[in-house]
Amino acid sequence: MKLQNFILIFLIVIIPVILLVSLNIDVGLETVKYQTFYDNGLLAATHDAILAFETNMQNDEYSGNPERKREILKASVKMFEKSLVNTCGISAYNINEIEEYIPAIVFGMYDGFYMYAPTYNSKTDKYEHDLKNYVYYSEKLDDGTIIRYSLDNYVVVSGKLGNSNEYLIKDGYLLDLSDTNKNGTKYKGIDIDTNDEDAVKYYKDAYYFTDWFLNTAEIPKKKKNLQECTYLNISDSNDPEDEDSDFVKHKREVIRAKLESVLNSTITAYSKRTFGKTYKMPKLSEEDWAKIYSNISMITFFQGKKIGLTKYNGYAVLNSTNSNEYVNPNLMYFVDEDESIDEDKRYYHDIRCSEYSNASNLKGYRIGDFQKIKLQMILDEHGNPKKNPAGKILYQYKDENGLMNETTSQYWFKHQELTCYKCINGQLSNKTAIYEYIKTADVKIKTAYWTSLARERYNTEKVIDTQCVVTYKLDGLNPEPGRDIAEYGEPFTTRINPENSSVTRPDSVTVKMNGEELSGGYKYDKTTGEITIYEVRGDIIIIASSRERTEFNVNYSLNNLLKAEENKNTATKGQIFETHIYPINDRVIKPETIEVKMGGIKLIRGNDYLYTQSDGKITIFNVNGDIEITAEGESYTDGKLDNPDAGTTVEGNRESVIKYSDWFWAYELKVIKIKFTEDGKYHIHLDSGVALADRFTMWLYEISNIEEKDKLNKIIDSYSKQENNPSVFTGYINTATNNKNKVDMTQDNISKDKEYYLIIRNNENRPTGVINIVIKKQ
Amino acid sequence: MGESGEALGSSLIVVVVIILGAILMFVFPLVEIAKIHDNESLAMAQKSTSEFVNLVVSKGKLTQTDYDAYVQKINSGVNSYDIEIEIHISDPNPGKKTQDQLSGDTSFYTVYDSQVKQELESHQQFNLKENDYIIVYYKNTNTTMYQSFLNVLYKITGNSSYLSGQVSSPVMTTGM
Repeated sequence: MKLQNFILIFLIVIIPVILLVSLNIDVGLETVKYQTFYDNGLLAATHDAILAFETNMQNDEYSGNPERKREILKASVKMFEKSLVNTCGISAYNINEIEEYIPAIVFGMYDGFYMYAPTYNSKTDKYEHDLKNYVYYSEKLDDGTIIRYSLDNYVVVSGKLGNSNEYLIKDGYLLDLSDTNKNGTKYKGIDIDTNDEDAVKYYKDAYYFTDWFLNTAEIPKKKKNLQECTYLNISDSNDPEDEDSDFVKHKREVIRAKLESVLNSTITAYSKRTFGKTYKMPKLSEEDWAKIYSNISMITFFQGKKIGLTKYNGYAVLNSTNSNEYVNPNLMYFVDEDESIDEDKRYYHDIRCSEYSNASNLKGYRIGDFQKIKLQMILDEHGNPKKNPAGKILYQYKDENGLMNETTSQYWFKHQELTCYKCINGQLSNKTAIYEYIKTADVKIKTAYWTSLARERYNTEKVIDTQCVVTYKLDGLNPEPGRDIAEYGEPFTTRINPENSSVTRPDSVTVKMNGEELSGGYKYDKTTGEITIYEVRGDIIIIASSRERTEFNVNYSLNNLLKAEENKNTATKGQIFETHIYPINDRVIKPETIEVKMGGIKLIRGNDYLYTQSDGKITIFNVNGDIEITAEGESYTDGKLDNPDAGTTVEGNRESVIKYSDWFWAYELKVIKIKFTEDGKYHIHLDSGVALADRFTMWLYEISNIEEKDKLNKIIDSYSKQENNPSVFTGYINTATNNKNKVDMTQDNISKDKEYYLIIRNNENRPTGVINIVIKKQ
Repeated sequence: MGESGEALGSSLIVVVVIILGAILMFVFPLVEIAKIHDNESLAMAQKSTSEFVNLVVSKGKLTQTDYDAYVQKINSGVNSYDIEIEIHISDPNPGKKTQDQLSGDTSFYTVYDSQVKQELESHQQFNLKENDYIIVYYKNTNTTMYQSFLNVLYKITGNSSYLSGQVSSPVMTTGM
């Protein structure tokens, strides 16, 4: 073979190989570039979200409200998503599309964290992103006491504490008692500036709280996993201000465990449910954990986006250094408030700056107080910028007293001092960590630092949230309105009701507290739908799905009528239901029409049901809901003599007294039904405290059948007080009128099987007093 | 010419083909591999620098430890790099006004590489605050094989071809 041929064969083989290798390496390099590009984009988007959070928290006067804070956090998430789309150059038709790549966003707050993550929606059978409930950095001791930690030495303790066995929630700052005193005027060997009342109150409150924590509630003696909680024994060797103390180390373990546990379970659950995608919880570096422990932070995860040969899996952790929720002891600036110098001529410094030698009145404030706040433009009634007479646009700001003011400046500064050049460009001569620096600083610096830190902490609002959110995840059921907040430590009762009559309550429900499913500690009544949780220990989720009903209730609203079959109280789904109604007595006739409702909807006679008046039969087709039958029998008597108020029963030998509490008006007539329980002879007389001369007449009627009753009714109807016509009373078996100031009669042959009516008439044209009717067997 | 002329022409073709073959067989793959290597090296330098900058801006401080780790990482390949750091310090003084600056506008001081490194040397760290700005430049100090090829092929370009780049970012949190 010629040399040329060898060369040609060689080239044919080697050139494609080189090109393929080159292409593969190019793709690999592209992957690396994308990785870097997305890392940067993720960090920038996280920063944008933090800025949005800080701005909204500072400018919204209701930002302390938990619900408002949730809205602010959600707005911050939207900012993150928009920024991520822009910075990473991801094309998305809808901003929500980016959420597919976000398994979780965590907002590390002062004493807990929020998580924005996919949550299962049983209605849509999909995972949808939402801000989950707040999770505290808390731990439960063996006896049920709960300790809630924070980023600093503030704790909340709840449980059956101290001498009383009542449930208590107490909060405060923990300090080494040997460092301070009851008056709050000393701390770590220095005198606190007593002109600063808030600082003194901070130390005083902290002293009493720590004393209660250690000596009254004896929290450190409580056990966790059968071992005493020595890390809660605050002392000189376990100072909660010291980052190396057991207390701080344990607190950080709790924070880490809570975060990792919730993050892991959320990401794993999402990954299992999302076919074709795998989400993994990245391992956060120790430096990232240090950020989370030390400040308000945001952790964002971005996973699954295809980049070259692999899929992106990254996260970013950033701190918010300008939060009004937390005073970071390392992020304060100090000012010499020398009144001989104007505020805008003074300088603010880092505590480690060497420019303090001549300071006479050193005070510190959180760094956010020195940052500029962009003001909102004032608009006139036409929506145009409002201007002053000189033509400059006006902006509004709220001063320290909370009053709104106008200014032509676009920015507002709470402090007007200028920045020290050394401090802002990192040229400090001492770079020791602030906690260590303070230990060896001179008294003036120590006093300023500990006084200022105490004041700022005291003025930071703490919300002991004793309210737990109740979330319902119901299918075909409705919760009882207004039952979405539960009090921590208290029992909580709510109810679930079917959404419509075609479904019914389930046999069981799932109750979750703090994300964990309860196996006990609550009861559910499937008949009433009542759910009672004996003791609320966190946010609650109630999950329940309705059952389709196969049996429906039949309710009767009958007047003068009765149902024929006592057991016709239920009807079966899809079947024909039949029942009958009949009159309550023989003076009532069945109605021509009735009303039938099914599932609350009125049915049409002939189409949906049949009713025949002659036999009272009701036939309802295709049962599909609760049935309600309404019918009224037509009575053909006024039933005057059946008035139950007018009746009495005379028993055997017993004397019976009927007492009228009302008056007899002029010529008034009263009808009293008497039921004798024994046959025989009876004496009836009227008795009164006053003389009865010429005042009353009484007639006794015996009624054996309806005709006689009708006849008596007509007699009573024909009597008129105005006409004073007592002669209408005929057909009686006995009568009596005034006889020597006494009205009485004796009647023989009284039968217990007959009805008797006594009719009493006032004969005079004037009212009477109260009278008694006395009936006695002879 | 005749037969001897044809033989001469054939030999000439063989020589040309041998030279061409040698170029194609050795030089072309070598140049291509050198180029790939440079791209790879540059991408890794870019990645290392970007990671370093992200670390600094998210911590709010530049520490000697982080800087040393970065230098070690970027120089861990065949090529060595020269690194320069420039920090722009934001000055938010409320009362400061110049002809073009309104009250509240932020101005910047620049701290250059030598000052930054001096500070790192003496205090092991350089504290930054939110809204400061950091730029890191990197440039290779050795001559790579691909650069050598380029210098041979394009003599007029001299030795001016570098593996270089920069990464910049605003500082996102205030360091402690």
